[in-house]
Amino acid sequence: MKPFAYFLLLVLFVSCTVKVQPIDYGTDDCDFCKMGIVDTKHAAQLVTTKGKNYKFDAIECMLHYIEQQNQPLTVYQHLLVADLLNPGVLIPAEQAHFIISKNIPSPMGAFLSATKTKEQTAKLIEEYTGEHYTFAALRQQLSHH
Amino acid sequence: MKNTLKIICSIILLVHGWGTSAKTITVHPKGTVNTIKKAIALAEDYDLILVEAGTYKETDIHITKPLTLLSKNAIVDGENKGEIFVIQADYVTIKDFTIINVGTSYIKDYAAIRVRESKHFIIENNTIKDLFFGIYLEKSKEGKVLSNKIYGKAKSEFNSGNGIQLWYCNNIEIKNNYVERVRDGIYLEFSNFCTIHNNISKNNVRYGLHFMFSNHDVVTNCSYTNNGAGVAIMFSKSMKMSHNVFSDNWGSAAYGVLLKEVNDTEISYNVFKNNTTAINIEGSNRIQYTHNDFISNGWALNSRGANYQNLVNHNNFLNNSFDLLYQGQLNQNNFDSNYWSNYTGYDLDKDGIGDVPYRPIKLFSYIVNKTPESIIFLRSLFVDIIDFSEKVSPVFTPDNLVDNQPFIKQIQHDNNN
Repeated sequence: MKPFAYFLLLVLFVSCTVKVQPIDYGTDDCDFCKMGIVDTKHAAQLVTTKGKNYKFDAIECMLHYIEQQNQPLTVYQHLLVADLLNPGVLIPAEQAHFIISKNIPSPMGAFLSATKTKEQTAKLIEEYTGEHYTFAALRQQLSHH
Repeated sequence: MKNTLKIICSIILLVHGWGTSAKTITVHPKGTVNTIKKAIALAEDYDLILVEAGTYKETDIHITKPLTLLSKNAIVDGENKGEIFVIQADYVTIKDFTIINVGTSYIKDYAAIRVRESKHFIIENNTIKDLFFGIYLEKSKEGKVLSNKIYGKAKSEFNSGNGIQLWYCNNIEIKNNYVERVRDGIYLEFSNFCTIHNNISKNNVRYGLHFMFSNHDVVTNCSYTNNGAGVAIMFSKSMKMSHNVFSDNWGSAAYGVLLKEVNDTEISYNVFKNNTTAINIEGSNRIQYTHNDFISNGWALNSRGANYQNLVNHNNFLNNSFDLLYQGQLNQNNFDSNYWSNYTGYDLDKDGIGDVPYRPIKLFSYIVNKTPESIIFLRSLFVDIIDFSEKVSPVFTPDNLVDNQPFIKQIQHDNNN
């Protein structure tokens, strides 16, 4: 009986964890703009504390989605954005460094990309021109439009 | 104004005059001029560079003066190192080349042929294989992209670029091209007044043809088969799409046409056959859907709300599982004068128009929309009964969403317009 109880506990536990479902590029659609997600350099993802996954084809779509929902950021367990320099890898948005550069197009026309460190952003700005933003500054910037 | 005209005239004369006296430089793998780059360096404005048969392993061929490059079965092999042709001058022609092995880059979108801030270019009859981006036009205008063949390698791979991409371009003609297995067959971003004729775009990972923030473009006589969506138009206005064929765009999120935030557009004389959803519409206003044939689609029209003042007239709806899925109020949308193969009314006065209005919405389509799994009941008696009772006395479906003048016979479109 005991192993069964453990098993039951395990099942309960596993099914309740908040999981990040990997984005299936070329199959999944953006939850904000309905476009097919194909760009591994600009995708984004939200996972709520209840474990619901929302996938986006661009960081700007995620930001607009958050704004539209009008809920505190605490309802999201994970806020993830694609790392421009490591395509396919998602990094936490709140620690990421963002760049808006007219020379690096993004899927929805905001020219917005993310990197892991400030140094990487600075190097990109040197090469492609542009502006550096933190997550908070970015949210403010995009809400003005 | 007079002065500019004079200047233009003299430029045209100059071009023609030089055209006749321009010299020809021949590139041959074993000749004195054995690379295309060398030939370009030697050439003067408006010269012709003739590239003889052979394989040329070159990348970053920058063309900075008006030239015509003509190939006689020449292959340019980029060896996956980077961009191949980069046009940075007006009046450049690139014709009959085979271009292979374009490099892949994560930030720089490497292209087989890139045109940068140029006018009056012609890119004709080239074959491009193993590419990242095929033909990439940026901030260019008044050019032509004709009869090129682009064979991408994207299968389930998503790290692929677009076949033909326009970025901030105006007045470009895209004609007779064939594109397969790339991300978007043809992609226009911030590009206006372009014409897109007779292209075939199929088996692409995302869209056959994709517009973002583009206005006043015309699409005619194209065919879109087996893409994520045939054509996606987003945040654009004043477009015209006619005489195109959209077929076999099949899958859970596959559409013949996807419209999002589109205004003042005409979609007419097209054929939509065997698509999961023929046209998916969201936030689009003042659009005319006329003289289209919707044949054997899952959903012919899926109106997802916030659509105002649209006209759906003189179309044939033939054997679709659902003719219309509709959310929200009627919003001054008009569905009169269509032929619906599901119409069961009669025509006692024999004027060709049914005497009873047709209600294109089935109650069951709402249930399927809420719970997709319920589709397995589609052909069941119970569903027929609830649909029939809803038809007799509508309770859930919009009361005023009717075709007041449904045609009794299929509409013969006058395709000569």
